[in-house]
Amino acid sequence: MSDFEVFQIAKAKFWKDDNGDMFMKVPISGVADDRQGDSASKNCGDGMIRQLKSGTIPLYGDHGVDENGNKTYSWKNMLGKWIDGEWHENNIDVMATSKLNSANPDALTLFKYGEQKMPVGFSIGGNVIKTKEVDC
Amino acid sequence: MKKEYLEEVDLHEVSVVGTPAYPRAIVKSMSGFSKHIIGGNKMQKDEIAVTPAEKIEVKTEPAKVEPVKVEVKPEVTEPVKDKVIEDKKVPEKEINADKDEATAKAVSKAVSTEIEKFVKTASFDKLVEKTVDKIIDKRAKTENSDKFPNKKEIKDKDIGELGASMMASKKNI
Repeated sequence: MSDFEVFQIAKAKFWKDDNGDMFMKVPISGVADDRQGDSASKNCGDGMIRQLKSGTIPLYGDHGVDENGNKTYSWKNMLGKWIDGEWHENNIDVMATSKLNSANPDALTLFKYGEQKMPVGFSIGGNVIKTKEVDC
Repeated sequence: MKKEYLEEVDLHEVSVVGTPAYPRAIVKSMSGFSKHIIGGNKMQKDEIAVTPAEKIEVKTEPAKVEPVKVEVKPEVTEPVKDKVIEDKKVPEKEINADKDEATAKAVSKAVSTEIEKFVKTASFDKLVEKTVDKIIDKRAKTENSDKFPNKKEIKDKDIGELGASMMASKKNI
């Protein structure tokens, strides 16, 4: 098992279980500002966690963009699936657990990158259903 | 100054990305990129919900084609018989001995041959065509048109029945 700091916010973990299956637990979102200056609410984080627990959210690389720059979301490029989610104890970050796809060599590469403590990031993709503007 | 909070997100995927400055970014629905994400993953979700078997198993009831019974009646065979005799296809002495079993067989054979020849002619094809048309007209009045077999189907089927019926009838000539 290996840990490393991701953006000084939360620790990511990469590990294998007794069957040799690969897993990772990483921060994917949270109530802190994102790069666009937006923030997710606590309610939004709760919703993400519920969806992650469904086991139907896939893990891709670079939002489904292939080596030619096409946004395909090909099934062949699926790196794993998200199986769990929870708030980090800092109450800022949403931590998500993924079972990596051992049939995909790129998933093994990602796992090794984790072991090498490479500063990869995670980004959620989807449809924004509801937003709220607040004076600050 | 206003600050935007995301209240609810329909999560379609979560990606690993290579830019450290990219964590936790929401792919906004107003961008073209986001639209692609929505379409692709929505489809994927639907695919999970519907199994392939449920999609392709469409039961269709084949059109029912009733066999057509055609009998070659005496009014058909008799003129043929007369013509056989007229054309002297059977020796005269045998005709004269009409009550003789051997003669009757010879006449019957000659009639069968003539009918068989007729079956191979264009006239017979026209007769079949007419018969099929009649069958179609009759069935169209009594059955749903969408379940009704096309002319080619009914013709192929009924000619087989017609031919078999002819052959059966000839034995009785």
